Amino acid sequence: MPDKKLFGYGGRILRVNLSSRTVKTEPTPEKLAREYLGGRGFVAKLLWDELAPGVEPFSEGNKVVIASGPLAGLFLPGAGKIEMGTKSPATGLYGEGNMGGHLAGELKFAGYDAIIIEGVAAKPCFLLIDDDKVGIRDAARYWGKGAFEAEKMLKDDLGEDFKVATIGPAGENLVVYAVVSHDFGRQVGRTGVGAVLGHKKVKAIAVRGSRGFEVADPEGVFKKGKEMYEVCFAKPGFEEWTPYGTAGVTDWINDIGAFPTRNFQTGYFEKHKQINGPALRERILILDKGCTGCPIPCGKYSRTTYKGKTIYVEGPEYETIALMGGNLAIEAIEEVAYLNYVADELGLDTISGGSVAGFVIECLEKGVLTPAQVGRDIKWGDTEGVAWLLERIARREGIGDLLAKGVRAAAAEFGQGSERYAMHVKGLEISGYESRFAPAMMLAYMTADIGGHHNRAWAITYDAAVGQDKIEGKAWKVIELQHIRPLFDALGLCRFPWVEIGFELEHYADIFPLVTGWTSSWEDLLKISERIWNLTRCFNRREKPDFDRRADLPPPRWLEEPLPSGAGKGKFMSPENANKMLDEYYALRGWDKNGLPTPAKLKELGLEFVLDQLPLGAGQCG
Amino acid sequence: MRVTVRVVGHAVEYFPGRKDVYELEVEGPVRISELLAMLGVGRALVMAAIVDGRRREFDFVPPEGAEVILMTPPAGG
Amino acid sequence: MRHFSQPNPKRSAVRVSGAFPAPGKYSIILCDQCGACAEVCPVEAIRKVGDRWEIDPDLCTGCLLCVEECPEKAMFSHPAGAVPWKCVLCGECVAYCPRQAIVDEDGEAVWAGIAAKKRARSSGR
Repeated sequence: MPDKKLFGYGGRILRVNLSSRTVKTEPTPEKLAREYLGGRGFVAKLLWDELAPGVEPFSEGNKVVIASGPLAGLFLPGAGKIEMGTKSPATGLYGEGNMGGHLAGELKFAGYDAIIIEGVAAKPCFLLIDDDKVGIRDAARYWGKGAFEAEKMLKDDLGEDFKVATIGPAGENLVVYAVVSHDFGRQVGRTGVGAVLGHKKVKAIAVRGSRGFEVADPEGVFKKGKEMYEVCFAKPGFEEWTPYGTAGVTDWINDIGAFPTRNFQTGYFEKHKQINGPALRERILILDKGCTGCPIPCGKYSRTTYKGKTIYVEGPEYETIALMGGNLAIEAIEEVAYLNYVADELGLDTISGGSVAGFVIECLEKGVLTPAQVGRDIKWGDTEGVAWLLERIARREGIGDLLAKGVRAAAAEFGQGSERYAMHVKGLEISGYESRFAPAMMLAYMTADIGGHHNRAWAITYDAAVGQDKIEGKAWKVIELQHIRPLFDALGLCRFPWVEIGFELEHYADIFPLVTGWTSSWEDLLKISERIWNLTRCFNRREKPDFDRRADLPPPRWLEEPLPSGAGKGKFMSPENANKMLDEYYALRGWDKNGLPTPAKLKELGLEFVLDQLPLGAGQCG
Repeated sequence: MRVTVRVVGHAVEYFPGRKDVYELEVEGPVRISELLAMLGVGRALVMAAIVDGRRREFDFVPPEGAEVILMTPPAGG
Repeated sequence: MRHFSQPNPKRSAVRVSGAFPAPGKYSIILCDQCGACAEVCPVEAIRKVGDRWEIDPDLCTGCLLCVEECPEKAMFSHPAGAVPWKCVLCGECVAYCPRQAIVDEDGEAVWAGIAAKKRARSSGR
């Protein structure tokens, strides 16, 4: 088949086999690009096609797929996101995360749309990608170093113009919530992609691309891109949003009673003003920092000194303020920033890490664990204790060895009712929204494909708009968001210009044909997003034959415990109401009562091939 | 008197007609909270109100011809 | 985009370099039209046109001495091409920098941080 030029794409998929130490390139198939776009779409389809069902996450058979998207690396707002996915060691299900920075564009400039990493290296290595020159290089000198430290060393060794992604000691030691880090503060945070790379002994990926790539209508793209920037500059929020970034939402989340506090015991933290956006800006910020092509940089690069040590960190983001701030009752932004730094350099997820720490502190508080078992007593607000714990986890020492497997595994081991303190869905620790007074947000957490994460559907404003009490009639909105937001993840784009300053989605729809030469409408693109959503649902079912509605249920705390304080005092989601929401959700999605796509839905989305491997609709029981 | 209201953020979709600018005619001085009621928008949906570059409480009364910017919540990380 | 009609930062005439993890700041590499490149060019391919120095691609031999000589490291070359390129004051960077980090001074695109250096250099001439 002749190589058809794909406008907007790097053009090739790089396949690296670490076991055989071979590197191959294949042209990016047009069918894959048309039907799955890129980014998350490539990750989902390639993992479905190439992973043997039931493969162990920490085994030679697992793969990591890294994919940029057709709108990444272009002159338009938010063109900087790359996706990475694998079978997650945390959940045993579809795992995926994304990050900004500058890797998404660079990969395409080097002429690649995706990298498939297979096998396991015999000793620590890093991937060097320099246009057509691709090598598996020895990483002995970087192994064991922190994520930032290793990035700095590699940039010094290879050249400042290399874009570098690294894992930290947490990834090397297979902590299931280890991250992939890049640009001194961006991470692929969730589901443990960093751990799978660590198992493969890949310390880093360094990319330099000088080829550029072609678009269908260069004049048109440049003109439309300029117009898009002008629209952003004119938005009222353009000046307002950047100063605080995501930290700016902290006070509001407390006002509506959704701020994780003391391991999600409640939804309001009395000291939130000491860890909010203004606190960040006034006390520790040095620079606004952004990704490729972004006019509203959300990154807040900060400096602070804790116990005589001066640290630099990009953050804290809202999620870290939630999970390592309120969730641990840490009362000062400087200390949240310090914990952020500790987690980042170790290369572990601040959301899951904060959740695990909160779980441990509650277990100590309630007597499920003793200080002797933990190795020391840790109290709410105990920054030093939490930093100590994160180190133990990253190095798999003492109780850190078990905690490295996540709250679900830890609670299963500790027993004594600690399952009610384990705040996860499907094995992925819940991120920054206490949802007992936000049913749409809770439904979003229940139904996200990777587990307890908010990025698929940030539905909490919908709860605020139509009433936080209302249970019914919200599923449609969660579904709509689950199609729009992950579409950004398939296009290689950041959703923040839209989410934060109301930049209209139509602009992306307008520029897509100018880039690719394809006449796809926004509705066509949303359909692709729905396709990917259904495929990852099927992936989960394929990996776990009993995966169904039961996996969509929220944790016991949310099903049984009334919120003790805050705007949502007294609220919780009863099992009855949780199931009502799921019934409504499944019906609207065209799924059966067990929460699985029907054959008709699969055919509608061009996913008939799934039925070859999954007997869906053939009289399955629940 | 006339007050202009601008809405910032994606939650503009919950505002009447999904517009991001509203020109409101009001009889005499009104509080920001009353402007929200006129738009039929829940107080919970607005994170902050900014008038002339300064954050204001919801009982603040904007002067004639003022532009009131309503910040709707952004997403977390 | 203006020079080469494709998205490719390696073919741009302005660069950003970062000092991370510490002290955590960016600097912009931009031609300040000092003319040092013209002085060193062995075939006089670099000429002043109005406010700016421009390369005549028909005269350029691709020796890249100008790249080595530039005090700002603002003359760029690409492995695939013979003729280097530099800022020709098209003004796009000034127009599109969201933070107005690049300012327009008397018709020249100048990063404020090197304006003082430039003044010092021209007063010494």
